[in-house]
Amino acid sequence: MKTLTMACTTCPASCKLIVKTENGEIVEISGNTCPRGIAFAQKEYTDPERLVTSTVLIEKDGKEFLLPVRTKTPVSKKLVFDVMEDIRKIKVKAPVRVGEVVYENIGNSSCELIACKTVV
Amino acid sequence: MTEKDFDVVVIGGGPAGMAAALEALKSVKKVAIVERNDELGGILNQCIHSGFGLQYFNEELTGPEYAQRFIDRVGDSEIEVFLNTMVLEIKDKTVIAMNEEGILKLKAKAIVLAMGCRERTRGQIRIPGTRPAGVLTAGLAQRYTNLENLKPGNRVVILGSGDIGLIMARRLKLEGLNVLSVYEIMPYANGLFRNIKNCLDDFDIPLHLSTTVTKVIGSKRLQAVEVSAVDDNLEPIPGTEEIIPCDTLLLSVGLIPENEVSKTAGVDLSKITGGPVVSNDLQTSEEGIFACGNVLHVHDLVDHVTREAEEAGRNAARYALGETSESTTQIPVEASGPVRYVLPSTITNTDEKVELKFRVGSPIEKGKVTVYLNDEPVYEGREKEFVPSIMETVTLSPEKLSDGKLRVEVK
Repeated sequence: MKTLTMACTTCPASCKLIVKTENGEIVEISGNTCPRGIAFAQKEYTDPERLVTSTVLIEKDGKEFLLPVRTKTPVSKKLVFDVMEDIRKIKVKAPVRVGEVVYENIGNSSCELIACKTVV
Repeated sequence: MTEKDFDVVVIGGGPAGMAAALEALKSVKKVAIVERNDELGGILNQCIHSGFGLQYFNEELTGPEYAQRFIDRVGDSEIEVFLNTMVLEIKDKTVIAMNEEGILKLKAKAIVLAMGCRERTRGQIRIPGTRPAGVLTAGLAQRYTNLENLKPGNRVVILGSGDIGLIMARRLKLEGLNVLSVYEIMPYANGLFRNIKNCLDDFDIPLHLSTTVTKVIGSKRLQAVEVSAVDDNLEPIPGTEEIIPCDTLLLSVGLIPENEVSKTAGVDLSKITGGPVVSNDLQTSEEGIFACGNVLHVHDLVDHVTREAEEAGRNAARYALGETSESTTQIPVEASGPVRYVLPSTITNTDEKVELKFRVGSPIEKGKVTVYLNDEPVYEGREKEFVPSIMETVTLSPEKLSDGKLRVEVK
């Protein structure tokens, strides 16, 4: 039996989850204080996901600035560097509103990249 | 010179200042925000990572998104915003500031201090060695990377396991820099557990506890740092020195509330938090001057900053309207044992429930908080873990309070 510890990132309580596995299967999850912890541990063990946040270039009045962006939903951890690879190539033009999609299927994650700031 | 009258003037346009101003505007008409930067949002603008808003908005946002919600609300409101404006001093309830047009005198009935905090630097932790380029605070590196499109260096060592340091370890790794390791002088990590997991473990960045940087090496540019293990008294152990070649050293070694302006108003400051001493209505030692957010004490979640700021804004507006009555209660609150500080330091208003915020000085695996009124327990929490990186809150109902002295203890 193997024991793993992980931090539940569902809410700021950040429960320390203790996950016991046998032959690659979860046999016990403890340390959670709500049911969301169980779902998190299962996902984290099988296919962990992360929200990717970064910046892309934005052109406004002929000048270049940085626009904060993020994946709309968490993407598979395996794809994080692929997402970053695509992010580096993107350049957008103002105006952009917070929540607006700036790129689709970023890093082949089938996830959208959205703006985190309004630049008009 | 511009002279203007306001009900409430808020100094600082970050999350605390915006929330305080918006809340004040619910009761009074003339509210101003004075901000030294060219945009509102404060430090949230460079905190492009997520994890904000889980408590206040019930959803996970990045710093800029969290800020945008308040920027939009301020923009739609009647609040007068002075950008690129630096406050020089507060004198007789007048905020004296300066911008491109010259001197501004903003006369206020009440003032809210919301200037936030700044980072501790190399000078404050006294690392021996030379003074090359490449030694900078984690927040400055964050500004370079996320706002100014500048690369801080190539081979990075981070000193201090505070959250900003951990967040920057991940950020720089994602941007293709070689992040070698994080060193922490204490025997425990200072950042949130989730950040250790998601920022270091995810990227195989090692965290070395009870280890610190003992020498900065390099003439023009940083060439290496010397690290050493430390003993129980945090003193470097001779013979454990190791040379780590690197060109960038990020310091994530704590924050200091930025109270230079508060001092000009004669506000009393706490030696422990570095922020103003306040009563439970968030009023400082100077009548009509309120404080909230990181200028008061360093918070770990912006959601808490917003709530605290709303309270300060509400109370400042009430004061501006002359609705506050002379208080007869004076209950001092003190921290005891492993509790490093408690806020507020006095309770003057027992009309509503009283929130006590506190932090422990070192981790306690299993402890219980007890609040005593004159040595009689009036509140007892359940057994849990206490860590310095997490601010704790205890709510007392007014009927539990009477004249005497409150003491907060964790055992």
